[in-house]
Amino acid sequence: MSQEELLVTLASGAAVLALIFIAWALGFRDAARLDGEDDVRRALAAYEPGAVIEACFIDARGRGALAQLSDGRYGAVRAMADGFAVRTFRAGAARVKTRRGRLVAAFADVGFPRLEVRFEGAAPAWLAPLMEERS
Amino acid sequence: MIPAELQATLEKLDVVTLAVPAFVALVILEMIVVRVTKKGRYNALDSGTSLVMGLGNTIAGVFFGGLVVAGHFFVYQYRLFDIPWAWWSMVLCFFGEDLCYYWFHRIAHERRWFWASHVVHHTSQHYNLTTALRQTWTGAISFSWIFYLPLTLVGFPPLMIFLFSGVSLVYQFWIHTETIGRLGPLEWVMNTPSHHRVHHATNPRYLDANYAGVLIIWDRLFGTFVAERADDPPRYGIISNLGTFNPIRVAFHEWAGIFRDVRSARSVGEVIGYVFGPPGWSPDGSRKTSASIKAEWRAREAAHVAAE
Repeated sequence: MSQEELLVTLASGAAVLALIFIAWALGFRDAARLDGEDDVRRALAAYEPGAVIEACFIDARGRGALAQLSDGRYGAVRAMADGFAVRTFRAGAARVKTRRGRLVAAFADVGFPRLEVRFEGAAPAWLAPLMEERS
Repeated sequence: MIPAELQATLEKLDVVTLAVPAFVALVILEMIVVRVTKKGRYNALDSGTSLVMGLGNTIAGVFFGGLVVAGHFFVYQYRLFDIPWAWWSMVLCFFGEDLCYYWFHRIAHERRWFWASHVVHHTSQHYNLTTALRQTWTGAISFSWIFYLPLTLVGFPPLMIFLFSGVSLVYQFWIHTETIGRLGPLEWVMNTPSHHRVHHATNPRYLDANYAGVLIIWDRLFGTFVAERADDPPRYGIISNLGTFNPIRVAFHEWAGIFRDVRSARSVGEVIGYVFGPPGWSPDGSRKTSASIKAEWRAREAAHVAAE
């Protein structure tokens, strides 16, 4: 990298930081929340029209959810800034375990990292096969 | 012929770098317009990711851009004609570059090898000027530039082709916005914000459409043009939106997917399908492709009409 290229890169980096700060200062900081099963249903329907939820388990902060679908599959919903990212999967396609009041689901998809769902009390019974059949 | 001094200036002209201050100013202006008018959407995290991807693209260019230059100059040795720097050749090169861009872009959506690189540009769920800067880091090393080699082989000087590639990239910046509606007769010929919103949308109706760079005429000519509809507002992103803002994951997630699939392949045919098939291809057809999504959508629409 030449000195000129280094200078241009550093200037571009400074511009990037400035633009992120301006966006933040202008209030573009909305964070999506899952407040109930309807929100989970809407997010899943946008990803897979016709998906029917049998049961769902929502993060205590509303930042993620796991759902049991009527066709035997499961759905994972993650709040991404002011939107959502969703995946559907079969038992065995995700590694799911509980750890210190959190349910942690890990996927093979590099574009969908580990999902943590905080919960109070006990995890619902329908999650048991998901954890037992982990691969 | 054009004057030698002008040719020398054009050969060295880096239009993209020159345009960067304007990019920054326009992004700030658009943020203010969105804040005031509520037309369009911004999110600091999403824009931050887009901007970091753009910066990474510039850095990747420094390291791997030589491959593109070397490839073009290698092919240029075997050119069919000696095309000079002249007004007529520059006009031809502009149209030629735009046509090559159309085919590069179309194949980048239809074949997973090239999609793995281009997908980065589509991973934002927002559509604003920062989305324009969300660019791949792997374009040069995945040979996305080979689509322009026919121009070099014909005899257009590589530096002329690079000049118009830069012009195309700069032109495409301003069309990444929701703040501009339709532009009257310009919509017939030019790629516009409206046409490009369709291209970035995941609504089944809009999938695999409007691949144009500067001129929309190529989509009209090759049957891939779809007009934006008020009753079907675009939803932006990719079919399986990313669950991460980590730039490394954004840059390499599809390449990792290819690697994972190839490792599990049971035949050469499956390897070829996973690498060069349409994005979403799988041996048993269990995954979603553009074609399957469109077919399901058409079936739902037909059932809906029948029910009425």
